[in-house]
Amino acid sequence: MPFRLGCDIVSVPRFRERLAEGGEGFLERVFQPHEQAGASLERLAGLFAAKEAACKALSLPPGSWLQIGVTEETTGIPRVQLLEPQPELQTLYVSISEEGDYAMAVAIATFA
Amino acid sequence: MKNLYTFFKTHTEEHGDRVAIVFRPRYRTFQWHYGELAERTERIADTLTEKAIGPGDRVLLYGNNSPYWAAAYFAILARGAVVVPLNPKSPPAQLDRIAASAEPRLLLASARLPWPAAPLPSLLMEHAAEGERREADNMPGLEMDLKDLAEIVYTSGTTGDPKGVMLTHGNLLANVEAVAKSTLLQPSDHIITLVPLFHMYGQMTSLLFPLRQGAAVTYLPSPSSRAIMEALKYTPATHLVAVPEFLKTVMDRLEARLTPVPRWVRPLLRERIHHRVSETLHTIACGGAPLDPEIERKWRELGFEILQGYGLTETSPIITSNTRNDHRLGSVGKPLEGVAVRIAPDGEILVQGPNVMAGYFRNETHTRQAFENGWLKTDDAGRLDGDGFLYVFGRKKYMILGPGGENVYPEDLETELNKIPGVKDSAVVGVEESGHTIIHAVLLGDRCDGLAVVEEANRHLAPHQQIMAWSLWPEADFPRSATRKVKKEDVLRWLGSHQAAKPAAPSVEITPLTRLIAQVTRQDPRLIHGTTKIVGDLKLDSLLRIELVGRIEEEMNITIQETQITAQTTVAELEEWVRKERGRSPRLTKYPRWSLSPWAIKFRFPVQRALFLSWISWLCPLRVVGREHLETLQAPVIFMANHRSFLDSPVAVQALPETFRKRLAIAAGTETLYETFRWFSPLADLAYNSYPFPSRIEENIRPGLDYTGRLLDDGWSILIFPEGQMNRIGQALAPLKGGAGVLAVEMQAPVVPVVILGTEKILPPGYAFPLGRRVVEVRFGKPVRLTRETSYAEATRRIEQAFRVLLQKPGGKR
Repeated sequence: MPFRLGCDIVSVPRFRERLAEGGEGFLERVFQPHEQAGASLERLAGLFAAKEAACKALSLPPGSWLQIGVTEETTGIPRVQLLEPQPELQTLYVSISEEGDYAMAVAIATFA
Repeated sequence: MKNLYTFFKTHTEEHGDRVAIVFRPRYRTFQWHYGELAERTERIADTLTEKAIGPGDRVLLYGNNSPYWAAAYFAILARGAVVVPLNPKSPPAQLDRIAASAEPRLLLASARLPWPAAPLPSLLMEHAAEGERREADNMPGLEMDLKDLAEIVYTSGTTGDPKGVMLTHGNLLANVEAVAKSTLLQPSDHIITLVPLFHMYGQMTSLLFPLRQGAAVTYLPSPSSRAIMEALKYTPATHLVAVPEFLKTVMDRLEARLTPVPRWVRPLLRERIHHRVSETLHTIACGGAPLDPEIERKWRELGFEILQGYGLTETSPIITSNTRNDHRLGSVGKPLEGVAVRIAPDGEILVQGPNVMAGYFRNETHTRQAFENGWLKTDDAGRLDGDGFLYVFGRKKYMILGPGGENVYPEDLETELNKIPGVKDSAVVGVEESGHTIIHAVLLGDRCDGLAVVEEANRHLAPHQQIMAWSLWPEADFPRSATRKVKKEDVLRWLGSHQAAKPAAPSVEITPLTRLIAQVTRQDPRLIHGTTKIVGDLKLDSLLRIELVGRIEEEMNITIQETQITAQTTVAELEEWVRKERGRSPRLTKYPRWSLSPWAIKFRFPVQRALFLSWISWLCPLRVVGREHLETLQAPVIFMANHRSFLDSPVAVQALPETFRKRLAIAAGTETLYETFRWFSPLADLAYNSYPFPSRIEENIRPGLDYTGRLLDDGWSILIFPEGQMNRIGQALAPLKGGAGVLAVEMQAPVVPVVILGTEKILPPGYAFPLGRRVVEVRFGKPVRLTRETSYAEATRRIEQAFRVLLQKPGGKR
């Protein structure tokens, strides 16, 4: 079964700076409303890493942030929802981790 | 007035039905009346009561300008507590230091902005404002005294000790009353403010004063030039509250456009230019930094009243202001009523009055130093003319005003620089270069690597404090005063002559785009050339790419996608793309299009009837099912229909009740109507009020969302075909495009699924002529309402599900 990996690491202080600088416009470009509301800085940095990792695993063009929605199941496991179906894609999983000044994520996509 | 909360209660009751605040956080505009502001304030105050917040407790207030910020501010005062407003751009360490100094009981933060510093007991203002409303208790805020503390505003101390300016209820009320005596503001007026509410200038001009007068205020979530120009276009604003840099930037742009126009023609165009900025705006209040008298003169020539004032956080904040009838160019006006200003023998401006602070919070030393014989020392030099007009020579002497209007205190940057090994001392100054303030560090040290020092310091500084240029002081020590303070006048003078004599790099044309790229990538703009690869050479990663496209959009007023900047894109290519994009007309974002002009609306129905309805009603007799779902529905509504024939648009429109049909627009796919059948689009625009909506994934959906949001704001309902294009798969419904969910979540309007059955048999895809006459069934489903907590994909799934349910229904009555 063919598969592809993607990973990303985000420096939380640097992410905070970009967020402070870009303000509402940054949030609007990157996050769906359900992802932003009340989310902590570390959580947003983790979501950003997850989106970047998913973009890499799917080879999506730059700026596909809103194509990828990340929700959390009651168990705390992140679930990725794509806005448009991707050809041949069977499953897409991400895993997010946050520790201190860093948030990182790994995505794995399997294809038919 | 007894205190600020009584002031709030009195004026919100007085102006209950008037619009208080207009706000457009994403694609929809909403407004609160004064009554609603009072109600939301009470809800937040109720939540604060549950948290046992009471008189004297400090509450941190953290967020960008929004109506919720205003409600949270008054809710804290309702509890008799003390507001501590915070700048959201402050670095976490500074917020921690403020928290340590203020010892707050609670943080009231915006849900739209994550709190970056050490955890505190907190509440989200938006959530608290939606809570259950209890029977109004007698809030302790009604019992506060004029001398009680209302607010602590921290003014400095990124790296040093923060100074908390203590302002009492009496201070703020005295200032708002004095402002009301000098400035005319009618209840019918509308202010757009570009100044943050956490800043006293913003708070006085854009919250307290309009509340007293019953005027409306538009808050911008992020005051970029694009957002400001849009707000000016779509808001009937009479007043603008701005900082000088904005007036200079807009004037430079207007003049650049006028360059090809002969000089003698320009005065004839003044009225036109005024209207181009805004048709309703007449007064601009300007403060926070000195305004170049030449810029002021040019704005006045265009017919705008410019009211420049002067103030400090320590004076709640306004000390002097020009007025409509008492104005002098280059001056900051006369002192407000009740405020006394005098000039000390050394030229320093001294102030006395009921607006002067109670002191610095828990800081006796600074408080003592700030006063001299009962007069507040402003640290600014100035003079009074014979008529009492004040002229300020140096504001906060060397304070630098960041591009967003934030105060940059050189001392904070110097402390950071001086920590670095090899740096003996430093002097940070603001240098004007082509209309922009460059934060320049002059370093003193042996074998000091300037670039490495600045990079190291920048790592610890906030975005608005970033040092952009540096020099090495050529002598053994800086020139110093008797008290060993660095004489910055001498440093600045040296810098002026030194730079003129020795440019740092060969001169390269710095365009607005290269300057922007340089700012985002923190590179010297003089080292960026046309052949520079933006991603590779300037190390533009995904975070910076988002920032760059955001700033290009906001500052150059064009829409751009991140895909425009690939690994190979050079600066010259991006320049060319931006140039073409700016020349492209008409843009999708332009609202309203011609199809919403009064004449188009007047001719719409006669044209629709003559060209379409007459033969369509014969060709496709309608059977409509589910109209009862629309009976109690209020416009605006988003109708989403399946699409298998060119007949679907006119058929769906005809099936709608007249209330919706009269005020309807059709979001038509750019690919079909505006490219393949471009020749037909003017007729569709006229007869059906259609407008282009992106239908391909690679298209930027945001202009389409922006236009749709404005239509809905004005009460127009929308008809859209969410399959993206005509369905040729032989089934009643093709999978919906993700844009359906985006539209439903972002627009926050009910979505009504519409199923059309039969048109595909009369005029199937690919046919130019009808195959015959037959009954068409149109089914309206139950409205689907989706909250902002729903993901786009989930929203799309639920809408698709509503279609499936509707498709299974048996046919209804004719």
